[in-house]
Amino acid sequence: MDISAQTQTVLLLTAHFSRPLKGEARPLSTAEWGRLEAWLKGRESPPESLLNGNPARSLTGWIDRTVTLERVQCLLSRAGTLGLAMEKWQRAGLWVLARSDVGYPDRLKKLLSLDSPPLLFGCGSRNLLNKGGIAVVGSRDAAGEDLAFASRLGWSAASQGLSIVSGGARGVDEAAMLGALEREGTVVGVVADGLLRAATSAKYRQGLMGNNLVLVSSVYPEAGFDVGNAMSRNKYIYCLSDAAIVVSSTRDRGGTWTGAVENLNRRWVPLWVKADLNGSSGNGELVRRGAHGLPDGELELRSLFASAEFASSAHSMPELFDRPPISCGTARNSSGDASPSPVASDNTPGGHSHTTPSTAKVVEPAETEGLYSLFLRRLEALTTNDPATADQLLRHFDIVKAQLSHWLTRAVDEGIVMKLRKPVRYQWQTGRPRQRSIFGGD
Amino acid sequence: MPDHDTERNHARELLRQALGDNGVDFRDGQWEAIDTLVNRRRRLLLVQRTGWGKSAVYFISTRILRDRGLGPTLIVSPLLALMRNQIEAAERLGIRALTINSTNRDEWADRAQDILNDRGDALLISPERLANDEFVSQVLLPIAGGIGLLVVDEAHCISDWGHDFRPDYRRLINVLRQMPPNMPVLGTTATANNRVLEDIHSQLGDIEVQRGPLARETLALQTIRLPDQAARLAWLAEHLPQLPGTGVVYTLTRRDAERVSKWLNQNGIPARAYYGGVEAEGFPDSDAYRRFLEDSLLRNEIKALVATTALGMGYDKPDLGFVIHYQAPGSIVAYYQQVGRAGRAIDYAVGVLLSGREDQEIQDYFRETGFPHERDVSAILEALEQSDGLTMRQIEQSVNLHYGQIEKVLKFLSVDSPAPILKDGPLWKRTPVAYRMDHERIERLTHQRIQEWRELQEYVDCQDCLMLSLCGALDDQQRQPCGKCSRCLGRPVVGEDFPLRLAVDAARYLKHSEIPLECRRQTAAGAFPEDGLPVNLPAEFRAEVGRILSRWGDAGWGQLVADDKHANRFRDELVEAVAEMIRERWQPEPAPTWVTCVPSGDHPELVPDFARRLAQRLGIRFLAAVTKLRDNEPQKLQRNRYHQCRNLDGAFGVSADVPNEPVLLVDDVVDSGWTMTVVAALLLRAGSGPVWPVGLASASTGD
Repeated sequence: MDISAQTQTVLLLTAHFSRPLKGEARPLSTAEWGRLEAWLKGRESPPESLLNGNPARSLTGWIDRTVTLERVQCLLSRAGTLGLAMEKWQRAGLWVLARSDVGYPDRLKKLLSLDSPPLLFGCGSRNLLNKGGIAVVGSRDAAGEDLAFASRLGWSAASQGLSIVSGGARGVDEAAMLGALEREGTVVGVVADGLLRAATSAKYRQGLMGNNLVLVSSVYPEAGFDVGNAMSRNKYIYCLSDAAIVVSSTRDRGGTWTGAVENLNRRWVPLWVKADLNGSSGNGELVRRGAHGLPDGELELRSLFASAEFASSAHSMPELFDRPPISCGTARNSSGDASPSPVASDNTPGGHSHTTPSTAKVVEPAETEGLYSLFLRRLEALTTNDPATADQLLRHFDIVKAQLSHWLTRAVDEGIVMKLRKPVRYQWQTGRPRQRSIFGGD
Repeated sequence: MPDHDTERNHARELLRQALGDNGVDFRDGQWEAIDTLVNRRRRLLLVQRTGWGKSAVYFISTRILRDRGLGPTLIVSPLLALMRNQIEAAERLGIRALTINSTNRDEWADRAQDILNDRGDALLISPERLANDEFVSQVLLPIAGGIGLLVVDEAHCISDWGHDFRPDYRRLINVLRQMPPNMPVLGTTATANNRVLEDIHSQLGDIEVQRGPLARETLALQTIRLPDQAARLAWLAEHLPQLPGTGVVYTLTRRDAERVSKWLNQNGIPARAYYGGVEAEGFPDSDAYRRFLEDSLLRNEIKALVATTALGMGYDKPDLGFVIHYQAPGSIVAYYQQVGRAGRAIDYAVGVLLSGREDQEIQDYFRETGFPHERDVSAILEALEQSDGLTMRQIEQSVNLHYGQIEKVLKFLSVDSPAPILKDGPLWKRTPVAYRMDHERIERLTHQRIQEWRELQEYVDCQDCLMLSLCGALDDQQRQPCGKCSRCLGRPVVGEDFPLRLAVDAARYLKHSEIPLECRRQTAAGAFPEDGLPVNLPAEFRAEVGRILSRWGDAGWGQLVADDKHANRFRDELVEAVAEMIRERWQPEPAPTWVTCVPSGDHPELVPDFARRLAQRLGIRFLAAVTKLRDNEPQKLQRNRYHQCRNLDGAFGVSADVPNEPVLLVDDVVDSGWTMTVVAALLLRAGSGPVWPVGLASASTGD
């Protein structure tokens, strides 16, 4: 696939091509690119005009506090780098779509408008992106029963001709996706990092080659784990689906929770939760905030789809389903916030609670979890493939040596990290149960 | 913006600075090329002969772009280093040129750091580096300020059937296709005919072409058909000393490069063999030695380098006096590429193409092995499909293919785009890309090669001006006959005769091209459960260094061995030849007192019969001490170490009463050397004296 000059321009301006370096011009954020794009559009000048001749001339009159001419020029000068990076990704069978490209999912444009990702890197059958389906979300460290439930959801979706939309993470995501793929169902996986690795993994290979699976990511395919990316990935999962099911969540903690609450606030798609008797589960609280409890027994999944008040409903399915006649569960709280409408609690201005930001603000992980967990998460991304020396890690984390040694020793003791000799290096222990996720579940 | 004239004048100042000559002006096209790159920021393909000044174009462009604050220039070139005059020109322009390739591995980290810190203005890398994903992501992607200009040296390789020649150029073209239009690119070549240009155009789309005349007025061409290798060796020994200056003798194979070089030295002509992977004591690796060899020729310390095509690309010696082809290359483009290096900055140079009987066979072989077999491709893809990635060693265990074959398949597959496989660190991974072997393309390229070989034959027999014929094949419209070649002169440029004495010597030399036989020391882990051989064979189980009389099917004895093997009896002449080799030249000490041989299930009498006659000729006894215990598969079907070892386990038995005396262990065709290794180990374990292995022919594909 040859990429259009317009998409190349968006790539140059908004994408990383490798791990970010100090002092390097920062690619434009979604919002920044949105401003520049709108300004160019107002001047009837296509983005690719920035590639011809002198960008300074094309940008005469552009004034922006963060998007300086110098920054734009630095970003545009990465043409060679873009060629090298794209060649590799295309060789691996990956593609990229900008918002202007045919095949970019309308759902994202419609529900997120300027908040929709400027680029989607992907692999597999991109037709699936516009087909909707059932979003399944939940913890990376879900218990056996939740995993089995997620798998069964996958099977059901497959047998009912619906796609599973999920995040490709370990745990619930993977169980639902592989469940659907086992039954020749279709799956949309929105990964937050490591698209290239996912695309070359054995577990997804058959699905990708058989056009039953599409994997997409809004960040470059070799990106490592990043909390912000993981959070914004959640909204794409919801927006690409017709209805969402939370298998497990932890109240006020982790990505599943934050994403579910955001969906309730933004009213993207109807939210359903699996009944969970575990006291620490956030599922009950989600119901109190407007989610529906899933009924027991065989599910007609289409019955979960949107009614008119949902943003997604306008383009969901050809046949609109009635609001499902299911009560919102039993565990109402006593605060009186028990409207039957799943969205009533946030319907009025000022109704936002502090945990339900209306914009895509990201919950900093440090607020919810210890720094050690964050350290592990980064370490996993860094050393899963190749071991790293303490010096390399020290440079990367930019923390005092004593702290690094302390954490490394702990990680080695806990069996999370392997210590290799000659020279001494550290490598993530693949194949062992990983550390507790900062994305909740427990 | 300064006006055009001011810019041109400024660029001319840079040219004068670069050449250290205040009087020079641009050659036709040089300024236009610079202007295209730095001001119009376009893609340009420069077709100009070696020495025209292509590097001046990219160094001056680099200076201008750097002064405008743009990133460094990336030069992709098969050259191991810039030529001295290029380095000097760059230095005079204040351009810091860095090199990263296989010759300076220990400097990579520092050079990469230089690049990251913006301390380099130009970076020279090999296409292999560019095709290495790890290198790209660690060094190239982080280049500060991006890449200002991309230079692709020897750009014709983009179209030159990259699969077996420079497969990495196939990768390069996909990089170019992905680069946005605001990336200036300069391709340079001295050999591109219309077909190649059209191909580059169709692959790269928007690229301008600038083309100059290719004829080399100082070069006197000649072709001679000399079917026998002995005759060609004799011709070389007779005429090389009289040729002007120093030069290059091209051979088609590494083996021939070694053979010719050794012969020349025996005849008092200082020469060295040069090929990919050539090694010598005192040099850390092959590339270091190659650099040394190139320098030896540059400084005229030897009369000739005897080289395969590994030498040539970008090798720019202004006073190269001659280029002789010991065997004919596969195409006219390849021939021009090689012969065109001669006579650049001297008044007279010669280019003689000797054409031999074996040329056709070697070219057929190249053509037939240009692409991997589909069944090998499928086997490897299947193995990878079952996994999350395999190392080379793991692939070797799952498929019965030669290491080199596996490498070839992996290379072949990995330069496709999209490709069915991807290398991630040490692991080869299957991508989710459906794969179908492109038979049409393979057929088209094979057909094209046959056509090109035909054209080369026409050149050899051409009755008109040879230079005109060359230029014609390159679509360079020359009108005037050169007046220098053997056809224009109506007599040979270099005499075609040689004394009979030399021809007899050469024939004997060819028949004495025996090869040392070194048995293996390390077995594959877990391959010998029955025989119980350890992974590291201890010295007391290892054979001495033996000898192999010839190469299978080769000039000399190799052809007789092949013929006789099929006839199921080795003639007495071969017994005589081996006995003579042992007594006159090899002279193993302690001398063997008995002979035994490797038994075979298929031809139970062939080798024992030969060994018996050899024993008789040497006046020592023959004992059939080794027996076949089970019918294993033919060893030649075992393609890599693991399978070769596994196939031999429990296959041989040794009689209990072997004499504790030195023994000659005979086999006919030696392939991987594993059979000799194992039988020798079993003999030694059973109590024999030192084992001297001897073979009639080597079928090793290592060269």
